[in-house]
Amino acid sequence: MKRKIFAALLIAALAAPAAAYAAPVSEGEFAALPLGTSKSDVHASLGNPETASVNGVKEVYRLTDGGKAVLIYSGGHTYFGFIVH
Amino acid sequence: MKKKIISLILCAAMLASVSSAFAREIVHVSDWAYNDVSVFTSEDLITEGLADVSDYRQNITRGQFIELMCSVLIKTIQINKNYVHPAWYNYFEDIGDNYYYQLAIGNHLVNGETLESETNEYGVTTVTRARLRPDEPITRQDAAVLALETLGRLDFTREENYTVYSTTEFDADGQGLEIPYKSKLTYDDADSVADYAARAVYALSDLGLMQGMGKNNFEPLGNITVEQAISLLYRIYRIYPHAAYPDGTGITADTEKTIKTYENGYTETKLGETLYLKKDGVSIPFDTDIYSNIYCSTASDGNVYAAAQTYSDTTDIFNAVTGELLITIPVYTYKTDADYIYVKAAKSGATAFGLYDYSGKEVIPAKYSLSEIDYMIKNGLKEPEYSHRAPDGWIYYADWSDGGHMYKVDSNGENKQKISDEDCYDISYYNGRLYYHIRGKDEGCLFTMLPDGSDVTKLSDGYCYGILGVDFLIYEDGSPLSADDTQNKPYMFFLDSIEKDGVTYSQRLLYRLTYENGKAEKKLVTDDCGSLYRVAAKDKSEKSWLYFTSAKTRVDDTSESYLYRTDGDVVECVNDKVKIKYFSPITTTDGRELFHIEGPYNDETESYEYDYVADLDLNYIEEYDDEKWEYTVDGIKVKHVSTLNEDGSQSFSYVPIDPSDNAEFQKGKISGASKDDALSDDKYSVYYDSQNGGMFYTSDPEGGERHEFSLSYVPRRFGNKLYGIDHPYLSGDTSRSDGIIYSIDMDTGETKEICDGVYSISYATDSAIVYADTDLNQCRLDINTNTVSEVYPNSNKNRYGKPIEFWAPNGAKNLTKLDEDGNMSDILTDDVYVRYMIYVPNGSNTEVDINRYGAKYIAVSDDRAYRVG
Repeated sequence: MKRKIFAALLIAALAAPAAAYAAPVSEGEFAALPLGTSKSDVHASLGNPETASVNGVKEVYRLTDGGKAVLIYSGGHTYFGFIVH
Repeated sequence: MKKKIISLILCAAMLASVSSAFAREIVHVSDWAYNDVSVFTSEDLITEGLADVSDYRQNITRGQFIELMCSVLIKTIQINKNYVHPAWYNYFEDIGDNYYYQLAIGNHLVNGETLESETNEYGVTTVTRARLRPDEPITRQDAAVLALETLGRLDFTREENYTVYSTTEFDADGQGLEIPYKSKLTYDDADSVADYAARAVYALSDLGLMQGMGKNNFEPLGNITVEQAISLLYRIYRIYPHAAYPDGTGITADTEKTIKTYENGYTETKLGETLYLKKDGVSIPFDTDIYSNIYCSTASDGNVYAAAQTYSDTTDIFNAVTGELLITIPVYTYKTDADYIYVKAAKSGATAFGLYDYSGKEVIPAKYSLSEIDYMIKNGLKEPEYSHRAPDGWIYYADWSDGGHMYKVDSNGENKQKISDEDCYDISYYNGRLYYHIRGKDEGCLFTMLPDGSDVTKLSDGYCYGILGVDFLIYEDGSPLSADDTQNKPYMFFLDSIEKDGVTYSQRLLYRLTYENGKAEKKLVTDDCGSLYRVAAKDKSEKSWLYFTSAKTRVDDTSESYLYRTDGDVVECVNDKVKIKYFSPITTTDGRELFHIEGPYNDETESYEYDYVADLDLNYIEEYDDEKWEYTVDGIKVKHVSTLNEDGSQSFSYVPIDPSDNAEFQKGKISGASKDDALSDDKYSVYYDSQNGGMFYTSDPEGGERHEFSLSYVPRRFGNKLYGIDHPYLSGDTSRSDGIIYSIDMDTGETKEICDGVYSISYATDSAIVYADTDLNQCRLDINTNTVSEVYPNSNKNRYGKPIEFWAPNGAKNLTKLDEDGNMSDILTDDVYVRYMIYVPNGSNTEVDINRYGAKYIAVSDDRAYRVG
């Protein structure tokens, strides 16, 4: 398995917590995401997350209404998710 | 450092948990509740009842709350997840086949609402119809009741909670009064709180687990949301001492706050909901909804590592300098040091501990076997902390809460393993094998297996009278059993019953059992064994024999009870003229066993024509008084006395009844190994004088003055002091019913009161500590200093030896390890029904008296014996 280097991510997370490349996602679009989706499919569907945990199992997405949504991965697939109000 | 990515293991573990999970949806939660809900979900505490709930901001139902409550208690192993017997719930009309509702009822977590009941002629009321109303929203006051019940199950050992939230208090006269919790409530709407919920509302409010609503109102009939319920139950869940309290718990960090500083100079801080590990401008963020605890160590290889514990029971290992994720290990971490990551298989309950090194190598798996223990010892591997893992033996027990299946658990309560699916009882351990009986099919038959549950062999065809204890083992060369002889192969014996037409005869089959290349070999010694008696030989100059009588009731309707003997190979008839009545409990001065013989029964006189005591060679003992244990040998009247040894055992000796005969006695006129052995053992002799009636001691048993003493409980001797209980009420003092522990100095005769208020006493023979149960506490007496201290209240334990002690209250499911001071420490196992456990000092390798404390089951290992069940 390709080694995961988190140093860059670490620096990015600290220096620029609100990364510019992460576009907001609509709540409906996020809620429609079936759990069990692979990470690559998630990214293809929603784009890159705003932030991710250092081990990559959590991704935070910015919603278009200003809220946030969280995906938790297990084994490379979404395990559960939250729309946080 | 070579990096090892064990992603395959991780993926396999995670996929397994994904596949076992029920279908979920992406859910809506409030920002304030997100962390609790996320972690609760990661801990796999969400139940099926919430599978279709997509908005956790909506009200939770009674059924959903009960499910979550059960989930917390199952996770912490505080309820029996198999306790769903239909008899407890079949009168509920609205619970269907919901496992959690049945579990809650079976474990008496909820009572439900009685709709109909009936009272029988004895005034006993039985509920015949009830309901749970699982689909209705739960009220705040009912949630408080269930939350307190959950709290109680998790936290009931905390004495302060007993005190603060007990239901009863006592007035100055000792009268129990119900505590008026409702009047203690300070909410403006306290009057609307139901009486049954007042205690729970008070307790939950007092603990800060539930707050009022609006202007000082509790709103008892209001409802709570799913996320409020999860947050409440998660805070209760965290009270249970699993793994470690998450770092930074309870710390609100609007500005960055330091959580801890490590020895290597790294600091752990918290800002918002994120933990940071920092040093020299590098900062690694750990989100608190993903990680619970961080451990940082500078390793022997010069690198600095951070072990980050996730809520999904895995640990991520980072290079703390670069922030690089190195490995993920599929176990729970509880500490790190320069060489190892200390892990355990699960965060709560009885679990196994292990070690990883920083290369990702599993040095000691978080599970271990007997062979592994040997390997660790022989290869000098570093073991985890003693308090967590010590290779010091196993406890074998039948788990009554799990159908009597046999389990083993190590002495730290870790690595519990089921080793038999049978309903087992009478478990014993000899020479590396387990012996046990089973219920059901093959009821009562004797089985044996290896300690890992393999090589199960059925030994008896019918009801077996058990593998016969150490007293009945003899070696194949005929030498008597010796504790220091490990080379000689022992013969073991067991009795198999004979049944015919529903009649069980006293005629039984005596088998000799040996092992050849690991396989049990049984040989029929005799098919005519009635009663079996002890081995007679006392030293290696004699051959060991197993004496037995022929059967009194035989299959062929004849009757005998003549004396035979066997060495395991040959069978000899000792005498076929007189019938054997029973064995005497004593031996003669020269070590001969005694037994009673009886003549033909005379119908006219309604008595036996003769009734004598003789030794095994049929030498009759003159003037034997079997009540006073006295007889005459060579003209000197002697009596048999038992001497109390320091290890609690008894040895036997003889003293002349007339002191003027003592000189003759000492001249060797009456000689015998038994006497010499006994008298050379120690100068102190303590015995019961059956002739004069009373306990006596002497510091010079070979003619010195003897002293009568009064201790109504059998005393124990430590050095020159006797310890025992005296009960004043036996002396006519009716004002008190307790006992007093006294010590008696056998050299000076000084009697000293140690403590009073005592009901029972037990002894730790090799640490010179006496434990005594009083009406409230257990006191601990250090014999060396005569100091008394209080130990765990109401411990109801028996301590024999050190260092491993156990405690389990009658009827409790927890078996708990005690530390050196008698304080409760680790929970060993939590689903075993335990009545007594006794530690036998190392090296004794002997079965303790099985009837002494009324225990049913016993487990004996090479260096310890435990009495269970």
